[in-house]
Amino acid sequence: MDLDAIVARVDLPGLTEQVIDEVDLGEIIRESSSTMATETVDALRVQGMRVDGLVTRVVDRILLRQGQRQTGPVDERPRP
Amino acid sequence: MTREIRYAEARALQGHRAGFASRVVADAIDLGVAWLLGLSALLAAGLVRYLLTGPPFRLPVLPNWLDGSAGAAIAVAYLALSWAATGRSVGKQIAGLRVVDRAGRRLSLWRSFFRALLYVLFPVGLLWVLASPRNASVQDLVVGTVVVYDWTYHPAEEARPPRPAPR
Repeated sequence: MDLDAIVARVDLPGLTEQVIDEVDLGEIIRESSSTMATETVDALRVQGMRVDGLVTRVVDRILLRQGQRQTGPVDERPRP
Repeated sequence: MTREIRYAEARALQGHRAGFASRVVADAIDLGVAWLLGLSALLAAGLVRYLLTGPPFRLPVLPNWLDGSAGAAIAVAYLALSWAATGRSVGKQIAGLRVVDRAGRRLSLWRSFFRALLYVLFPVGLLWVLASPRNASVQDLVVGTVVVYDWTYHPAEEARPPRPAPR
């Protein structure tokens, strides 16, 4: 079988174009950029939470505060 | 739109009162945003003058008293409108915080305005978060507001973040 002849008959540029048309590259780039941005922001936020905890512990120790701060969720009263 | 929060410690703290560091970061970003807004206003004024009177293009130079009060007014308007609309300014959005009232609801425009005014006039009040057993600033105590961790996106009317699902 003459493989070269078969390959020569294949419309490679056309095929490539079809594949690229099918793959929404823009959407993939948009999605991955958005995920990266979200993960970066989340990583910064969680660092902030950790520093909050650290600062609270240090200050409470300096103030000789006994027991935990009351930083739980806000009241769950029903809305008017 | 809600999304899954990857960090277990962050999931557990959603809706809890935020600490000092996160709030300072948010406020520092907001300070920058307010400065940019002021600069934009000056640029716009310069552009209008350029269009009316011709070259050269120059930024208007305000007298000191007006410079300070115009900057403060821009900061108050920016913060008050942000908090009343969604409970978060740009800084709070980035830091994952939201300002709500003591029942977890979105602030009214007047309450937001009063809170913003107190912050601009007396920014040192934020330091009280360090000592307060409920992580409240002086402004929070006066106006009756709470700053909570809230990473999720949801309608402004539902300022209270959804409870994390038990795991």
